[in-house]
Amino acid sequence: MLQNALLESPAQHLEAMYHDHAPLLRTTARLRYRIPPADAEALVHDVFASFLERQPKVRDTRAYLLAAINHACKYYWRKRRREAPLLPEHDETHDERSRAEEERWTLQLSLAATLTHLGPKCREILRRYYMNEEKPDAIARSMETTPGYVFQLLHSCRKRARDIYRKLTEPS
Amino acid sequence: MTHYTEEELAWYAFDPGRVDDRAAIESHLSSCDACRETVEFIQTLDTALHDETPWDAATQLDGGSPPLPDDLRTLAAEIEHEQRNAKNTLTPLLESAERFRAARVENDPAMQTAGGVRVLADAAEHLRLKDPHFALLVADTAIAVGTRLRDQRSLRSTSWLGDAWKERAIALATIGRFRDAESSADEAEAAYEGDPRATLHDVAIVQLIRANIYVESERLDEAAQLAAAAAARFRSFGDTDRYLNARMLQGSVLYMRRDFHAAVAVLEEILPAARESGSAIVVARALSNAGECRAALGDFDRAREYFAESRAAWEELGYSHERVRAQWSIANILLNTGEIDDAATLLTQVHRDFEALGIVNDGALARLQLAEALLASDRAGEVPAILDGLVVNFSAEGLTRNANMALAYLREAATANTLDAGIVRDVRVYLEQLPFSPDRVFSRI
Repeated sequence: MLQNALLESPAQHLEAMYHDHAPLLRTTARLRYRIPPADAEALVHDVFASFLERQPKVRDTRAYLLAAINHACKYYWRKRRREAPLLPEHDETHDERSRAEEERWTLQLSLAATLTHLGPKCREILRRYYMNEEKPDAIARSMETTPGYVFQLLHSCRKRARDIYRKLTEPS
Repeated sequence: MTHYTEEELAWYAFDPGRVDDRAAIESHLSSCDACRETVEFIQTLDTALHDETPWDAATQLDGGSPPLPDDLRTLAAEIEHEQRNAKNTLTPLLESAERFRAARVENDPAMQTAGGVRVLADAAEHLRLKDPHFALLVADTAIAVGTRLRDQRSLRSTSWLGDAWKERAIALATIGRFRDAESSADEAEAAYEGDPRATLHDVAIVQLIRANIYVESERLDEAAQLAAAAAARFRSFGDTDRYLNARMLQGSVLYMRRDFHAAVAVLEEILPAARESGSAIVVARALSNAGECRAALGDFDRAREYFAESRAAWEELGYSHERVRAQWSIANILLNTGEIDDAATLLTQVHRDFEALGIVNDGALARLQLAEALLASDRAGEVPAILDGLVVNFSAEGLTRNANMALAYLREAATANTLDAGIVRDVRVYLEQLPFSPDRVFSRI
């Protein structure tokens, strides 16, 4: 539990937790909620300060921090509703639609974190195939190799991505 | 059943047309939940990779993270220092309520910090199921220290005071003082609302406490609403244990609405997740509740299995009063199946155990149930001794007076040799409902 970890070695534990989760929280604030960088940084800081104070007894630290940044971002925009129109993601309701949206963002941001842990070769071939929608034949030609090798490479890179994704999303 | 490997399923998910045994795989997927889930997981990631969001986000994440701000490091050290000091002071005092009370912890300098309040609230949480009266004493001490610090403006976060009120509410609800528990929940909520560092997770915990209180007070619509809201929040915060607890409460509301089939469906859906989560408390509670539902459906064999398992689970956890409640439930099944002698033996043990734990009102109810069973099975001679030991204790003087009037009626009937199982049942039902109808005076038509 975090509480015990804090008592054993608070500095190292906090350092590791900040290193592991702060980038994801910052990206959530900036990308999902379109919060300016300096304000996003302040929100991430406040979420960690709150986490230290509250020491929630939860198994899934990452899920807790993500929920906390989501709430902080929604609150940020509610306070500024005269400056900018409220978007659906600023709503605090917990219906099926908002839950599905929450899950979609969690999936996409976890996948983003996964991509940062993949090697450059894997990330590039996945980007070309999925994001750019290049055909395997075209990728093979540009790589001066066979389509079969491209298929094999795609297959092994997808497998590595799944392994990393599972590791990143299991409760910490 | 022979399953496909993830490798094989990944090739299939990538392009079903490229695998040789497509028909065989699809036939297998139609009957294998585990392999179908694997394919769905693979397809979910493959589909998400077509979206630009993960790629944009990955580019932002590539920038790395600034180092941990110094003020957070300082805050962590301060919290750790306060809590270590408080723990060192408190740990030996928690051996017994007497020792704790005698130490007058509320005046100890080591406890006069925000960390001290937190450690006291944690101690109350640790004690609340094993010894709710002791938990109440510790929570009250946390409130005294926290309130003083708040008034001196030296409580860093009022949420810590909120935690103390929350523990008080739980301890009070555990010992059946629901109105007082609700007032404490109000105080907890106010403390969280006044603190920017409190989160919706904190608010959801109070919602769950309130929902529990409302279930006990039969305010079912409010309870269902709060339990659903709390479940959604716990789910989004990744708090599986509390999510399961909130779902369990939704099952309890269905049970109280006498929709036993729906209630047991919820509970039996929760049980595997509870076992998987590894939380022994959630498992024990789900077993107890599923037992109640099965008993209400007349499925006494399944009910008894659930209660026997929950009794063992509570025993292992060291939660004596929950173990006794499971035992009480088994006694009720025995009464229902006409095994009166076995039920009487168990009820004797149950009232003794409750009384030894200081849970006198439940002890009194178990005694009355025992008396009913004895009167119904021609063992009336044993009843006076059972009634002699009857004691009730309510926080409000009026409640205790009303309860004692009902018990006096019972004793008079025993002295006049007019006592029967019906009179005992009426008094028992009256006492069960008294906390929710405090002004009602016992009368028998």
